[in-house]
Amino acid sequence: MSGTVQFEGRATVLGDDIDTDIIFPARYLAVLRPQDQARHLFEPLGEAVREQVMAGGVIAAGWNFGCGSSREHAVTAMLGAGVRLVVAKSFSRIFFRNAVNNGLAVVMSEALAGAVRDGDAVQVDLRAGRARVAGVAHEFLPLPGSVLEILAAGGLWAAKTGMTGADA
Amino acid sequence: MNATLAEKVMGRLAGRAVRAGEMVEIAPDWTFALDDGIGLIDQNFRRYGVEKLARPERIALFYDHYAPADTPLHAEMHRIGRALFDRFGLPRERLFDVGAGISHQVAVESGWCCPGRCSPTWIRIRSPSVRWARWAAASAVPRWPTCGLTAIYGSGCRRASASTCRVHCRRAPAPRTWCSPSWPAHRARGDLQLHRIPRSGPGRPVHPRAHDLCNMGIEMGAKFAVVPADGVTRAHFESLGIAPGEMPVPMPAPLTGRSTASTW
Repeated sequence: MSGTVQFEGRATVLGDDIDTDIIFPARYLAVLRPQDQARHLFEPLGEAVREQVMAGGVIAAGWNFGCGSSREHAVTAMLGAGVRLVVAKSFSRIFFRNAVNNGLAVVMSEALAGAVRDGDAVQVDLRAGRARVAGVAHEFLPLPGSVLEILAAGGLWAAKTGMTGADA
Repeated sequence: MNATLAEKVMGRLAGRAVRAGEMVEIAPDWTFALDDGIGLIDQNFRRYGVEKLARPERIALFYDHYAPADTPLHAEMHRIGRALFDRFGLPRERLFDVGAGISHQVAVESGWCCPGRCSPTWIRIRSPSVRWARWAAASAVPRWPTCGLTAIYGSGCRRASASTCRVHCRRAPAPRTWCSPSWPAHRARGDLQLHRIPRSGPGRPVHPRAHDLCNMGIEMGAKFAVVPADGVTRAHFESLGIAPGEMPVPMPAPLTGRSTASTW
């Protein structure tokens, strides 16, 4: 496997059932560039949350993260804002696939998500299934190798074409 | 070999038996796109140098989110979609422009989205926002039906939507549900609405109304929804070469404030 499957950052903790209207409101769906989408990331939660997310790059959430509309923008807006990892107790299945397909690392672990406190430093090795949260070691079930390959490549398009978004 | 319905659907398209957890590449029965997503699709096609599309006759694009376009940016999305169709030589009759109808209704009534078929939307698989689903459930006006399918049927058409009349996706109207003497506490108003959904077109016979409730449940956060299969559904699967087998029958739900397909 090539490519990075290790991520670190500082966590912003969110609750359960964070839907995609919270992540990226529908009225901005015609905004296409991830950098532009990032301006509207978590808009219903306020500017302070968005700034914290952008500064830390890691989100820890509860159950059913990404439920609601399956808009791919919810993932690309996070990527545009510098988010590289989402840890949650569970994900909406379509959001989960959108994340993998766009190269956004996701870890589904009730224990790990529950261990993260707002502002904690989080380090994750997706392939090994290991994490450190505020210096404390944790383990989780790694994603299947085929899924990790897509993430490592930077998403499904990149995995299939050998190109990255930066090639465009 | 025992298999789930999803495995049977995927296996039919893969040409072999497949199991959950496998990565398989298949050609979907249909591939759909919407005006609110065509911009991203076009962007990715350009970014990754896509020059030709597989099975262009099995692609359809619907303009129903920005219909009519209410901003120049939304009009630009429509322009992008039309230009994309021209660029790839896609049949224009598969571009359902403003006024042609709501995607889900058109796809279902056309018979394109049926149980056992795999009809994802282009690039991303759509489902409705919780807000929209709640709104749709709350507005018991016959012209605001839902026509989605459930995830177990492998369809991307899972958004609560309006019918093909000239109704646009604006603010939700005030709920118009009247019950006499009173509405049971354990029933959602959406139940009433779902009972009143008009259906038409060749796709209608294979879509029991309970499918709509499954769809709504999934859209509102359920991971899975299932309804008993009736004879029509079984016959449909058999026509596709899929043995439906013994299907689970949901247990009636207790009166906990949430209704399920099995309660009506």
